[in-house]
Amino acid sequence: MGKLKNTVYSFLVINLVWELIAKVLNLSVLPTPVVVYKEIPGLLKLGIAFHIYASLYRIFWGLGISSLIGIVVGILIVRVPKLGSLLNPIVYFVYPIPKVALLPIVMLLFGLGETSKIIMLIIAVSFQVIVSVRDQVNQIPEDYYQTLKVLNANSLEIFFNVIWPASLPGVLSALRIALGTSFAILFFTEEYGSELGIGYFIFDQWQKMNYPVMYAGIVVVSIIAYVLFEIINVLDAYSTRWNS
Amino acid sequence: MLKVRNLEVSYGNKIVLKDINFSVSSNEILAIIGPSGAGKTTLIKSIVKLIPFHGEIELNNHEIDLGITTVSFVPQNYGLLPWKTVEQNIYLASRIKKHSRLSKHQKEKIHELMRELKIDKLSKKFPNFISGGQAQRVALARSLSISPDLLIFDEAFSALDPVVKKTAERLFLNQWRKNPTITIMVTHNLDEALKLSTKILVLKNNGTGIIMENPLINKLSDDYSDDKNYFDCLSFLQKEVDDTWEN
Repeated sequence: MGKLKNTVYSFLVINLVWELIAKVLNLSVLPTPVVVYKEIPGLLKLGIAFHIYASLYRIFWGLGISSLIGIVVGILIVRVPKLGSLLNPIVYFVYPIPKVALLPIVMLLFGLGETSKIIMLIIAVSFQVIVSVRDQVNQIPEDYYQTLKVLNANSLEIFFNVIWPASLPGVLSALRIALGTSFAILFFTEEYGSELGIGYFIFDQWQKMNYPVMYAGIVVVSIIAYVLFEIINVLDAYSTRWNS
Repeated sequence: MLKVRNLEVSYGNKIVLKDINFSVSSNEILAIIGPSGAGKTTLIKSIVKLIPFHGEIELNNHEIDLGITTVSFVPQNYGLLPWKTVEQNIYLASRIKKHSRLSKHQKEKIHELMRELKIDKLSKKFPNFISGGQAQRVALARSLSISPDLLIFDEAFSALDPVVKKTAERLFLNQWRKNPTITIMVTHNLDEALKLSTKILVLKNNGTGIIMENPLINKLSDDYSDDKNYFDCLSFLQKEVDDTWEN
């Protein structure tokens, strides 16, 4: 109940600040919240559901494949030291590169379709998951492995009983950060070679100078992101219930 | 019977243990003592094949094969997985050892053991929410639940406060007497070594060790407080440890 109250307060504060700035500046490029919210029901007629579906589809595959890569590479870096000493410098070298800078190269190599958009998400997000999982697996006390090894546990038993539950909070924490990054990346990628996607929708409305609808699209992105964050929070709370 | 002959363990060029020889039969408990850095943990880890060694280690005349031999190892911090409940932690040992799910009968047997160790009410709790003494008993239950051929404790009683420790020692001895198993316990506590062992291995600062029978008359007893012999033995053991580390 307290959380719901805080969410409502936050929502009200954001809208009050928005309203205040819109009133003070009095520009067509910044409409008031009321004007924007009135546009939201009309978004369905503009096919917002298809745009949302297209973006969520890309995020689902982008984050899904990134998680898989991140978990596998993150674990290998720690558990296979020789491979780790090779992969660690690569991760440090590539991690800080602004991934959006790679957009033209990815588009040249994979075209303007779905593949390049999902690959951009994977490039942007995988490193966050790798680093997070690696740090999490690094912190697993050796005791946990030793107790199971003495019982003659095989690699799968060690993975499912020790490594996976220990790294899950790291994966979810990385996904939470990655989600924000994903929307930012989508906004760029959907501008090119696409007529579907929430990024495309916002960009299109901006070009048409249809600012209230553009802001309504941004509000929709916020709502979707909020729901996705909450889903990750619920999964996180469940996966770390042993610690809280 | 566990036989260790000419055991040698090195870390790089540094020899940590050498010429270690001892045997432990199924009705014996061996206490390994020595100050920090003496190689106590290294010795037991080599026995359970967690680190490489030279020499011979045999259990009932066969080299230890973790796929055939059932070994229970309780590490210093008990090695309980924090994301599994007390019950799941105990079940896990049997599940992994048998590579299958537990039958109803096996679960009942485990719950009987949990009742005897007074942890049955903690079944659904996670290790982070139980006390150190309770965690120690959970680790004990997990190690006994698989009826091991070889039971190894690494400082498993050391972190407990004196009152809880006495209870833990009594519960352990009760269980051990019911089903005597070849047991090795590492400790830096001479009092614990005297009370809970039949044999004592004192590790020397040059990596070797000397083995001796536990001189205490009432060893493996719940009550030794009136035993005059206890204090003589404690002094004797202290002198042995001091000598091995001064020479």
